[in-house]
Amino acid sequence: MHVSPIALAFPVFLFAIAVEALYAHWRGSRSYALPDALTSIHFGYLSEVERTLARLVVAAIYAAVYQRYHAFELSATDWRVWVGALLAYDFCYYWVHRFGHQVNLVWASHQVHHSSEYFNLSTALRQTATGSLLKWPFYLGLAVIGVPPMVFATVALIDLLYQVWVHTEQVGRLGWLDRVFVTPSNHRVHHGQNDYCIDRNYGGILVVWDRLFGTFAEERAEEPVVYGVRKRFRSLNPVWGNFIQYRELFQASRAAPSWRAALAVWFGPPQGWNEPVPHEDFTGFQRYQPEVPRRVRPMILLQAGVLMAATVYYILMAESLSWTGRLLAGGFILLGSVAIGAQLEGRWRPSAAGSPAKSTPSPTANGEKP
Amino acid sequence: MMTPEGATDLVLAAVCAALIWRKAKQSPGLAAALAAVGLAALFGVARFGGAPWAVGPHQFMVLVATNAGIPLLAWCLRWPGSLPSQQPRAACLALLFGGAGGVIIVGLLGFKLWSLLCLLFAVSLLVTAAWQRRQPAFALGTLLLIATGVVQATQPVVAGLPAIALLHLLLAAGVELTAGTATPASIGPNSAAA
Repeated sequence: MHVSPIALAFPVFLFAIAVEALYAHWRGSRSYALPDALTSIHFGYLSEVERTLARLVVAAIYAAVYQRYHAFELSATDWRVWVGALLAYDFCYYWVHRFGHQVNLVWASHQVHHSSEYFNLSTALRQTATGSLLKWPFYLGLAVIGVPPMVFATVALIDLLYQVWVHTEQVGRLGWLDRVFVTPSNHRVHHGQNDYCIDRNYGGILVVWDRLFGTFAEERAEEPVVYGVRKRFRSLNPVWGNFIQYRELFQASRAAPSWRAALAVWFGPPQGWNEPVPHEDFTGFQRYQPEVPRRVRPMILLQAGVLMAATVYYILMAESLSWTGRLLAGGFILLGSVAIGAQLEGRWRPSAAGSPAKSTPSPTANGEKP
Repeated sequence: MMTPEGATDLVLAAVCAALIWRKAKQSPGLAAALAAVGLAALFGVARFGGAPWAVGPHQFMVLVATNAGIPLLAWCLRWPGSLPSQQPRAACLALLFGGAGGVIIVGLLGFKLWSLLCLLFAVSLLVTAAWQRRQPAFALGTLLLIATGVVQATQPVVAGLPAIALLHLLLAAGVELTAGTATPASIGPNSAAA
C-alpha cells in the first residue's frame, strides 16, 4: 500500500504546532489563537482530501509527458540529478508562486494560505483545496528535460516540507541565511500586508530567485509585519474560504462589459495592471478572533480530535478506497470542518438558557459571510 | 550533417529571433508567441541535425507552438492593444495553459482535430486582420501561413524539397510578412485595455 508522506507527517506537524504554541505562550508572544489554528488545520485537511482526488490525474499527466517527450535519460541514482532537479523545481516553484499572487484565477486559490492574520506553524497547513489543477503546467518543462517522475515527486515533497518551518514568529533574523534561503524572517515579509510586503519573497527553498528577479524585500524591524490579506477573510469556514474569491471573480466577470473584459477579470492581477500598491495604514489593526467561551472549548477540541483521526486514517487509506468511498469520506471531513468552524464562530453554540447563542462579539467580525 | 529540414528550421528560428528583437517592446505577446515557434524550430535544428535527444522536446514544442503560439500570434496581430499582446504575464499564461492543454488533448489523448481547430481559429483572426489592414505584405503573409496548413495536409515534395522543409520556409516567410510588417502604429499604443 502506498502511504502519503503527508499523512505520516501530519502527527509530526501537530506535535510541532503544540510545541511552538507552548513556547510562544511561555514567551508571552500572541502568535496563536485556537479558532485560527484549528481553522488552518482544517484547511489543511481539505487540501489533502483534494490532493488524494486530483493527485492521480496530475501525476499521470507528468508521467505521460515524461514518457513521450523527455530529452535525456537522467538516472535517479545520480546525486547531481537530484540536486539539479531540486534547483529546477524550486525555480519553477518561484514562478508558480509568483503567478499565484499576480493572476486572479490562481490567487483565488492561493489566497487561502494568506487568509490567516496570525503567523505560526499552523499557517503552513492552511493550504488551498483548489490548487492542484492550476499548477501542473508550470512543471511540464522538467518532464521534457527528463526528470523522472519519482525524482520529481520527491523533490516536490522536499520543497513543500522545507516550507513548513519558515512559518513562525519564534525564529528571528538568521544573518546571511536570510539572503540565500527562504527563512522565517523573509517569509514573514511574504505573508505581510504592509505596503512593502506586497508581492515580495516568492521563493520556496531559495530566496535568490527573488533577488534575481527583483521581488526580494528584507524584514523591517521598525515596521512590524501585519499578516493576512487586505480583502479580509472574517470567517472560520474552510469551505467558504476556498471559494469566496472565485465567487467574487465570477460576479466581476458577469458584470464586465465585454467577453474580453470578462476574461481579463480572471487572468488579470488582483491589484490591476501596473498599478502601484495602494497605501494602507494598519494603526489599530485588530486581528479577527471570535471569542470561544471556555465551557465549549473541550467539546470543540474533542470534535477536532475525532476529525483529525478520521482525516489521517482517510489519507492513509485513500489509495485503497473506491472513488465513491473517497468522495463520501471527503464529504464527511468537509462537513466536520465546517461544523467545527461554525461552532468556533458561535453560530451553532447553545446558550446557557438553551437557545442558540449569537456569534461571539469580535472586534473585527462584521458578519459579511452569508 | 544538416538536412533540408534542419536548415529550414534554422531559417525559421533566425526569423523568429530577429522578429523578437524588433518587436518585443511593441508587443510582448507577439514576442512570446514567436519565442514558442522559435524554440520549436531550434529543437528542430538539433533533431534534424541528428541529435536523438531533441526528438521529444521538438515534438513537445511543436504542439505548444501549434496550439498556443500561432493562435497567440494571430490574436496579437488582430487585437494589438489587447492584454495578451501588451502584458507579458497574460501572454505567458496563454502560452502556458494553451500549450499544456494542446499537449494533453493532442499529444496524450490523440485528439488531433484540436490542433486543426486552433489553427482555424488563428487563420480566421489573421484573415480579419488582413482585411482590416489592407496591406499587401500582410495579406501575402496570411496566405503563406494558410499554405502551411495545405502543405501539412498534402505533404508535397516541391523542387526536391521535403514537405517539412517547405512548411518551415512558408512559416518563416508568413511570420515575417505578418508580424514583421506590423508597424508600431498598427501594433498599437502601450495600452492595457482589453
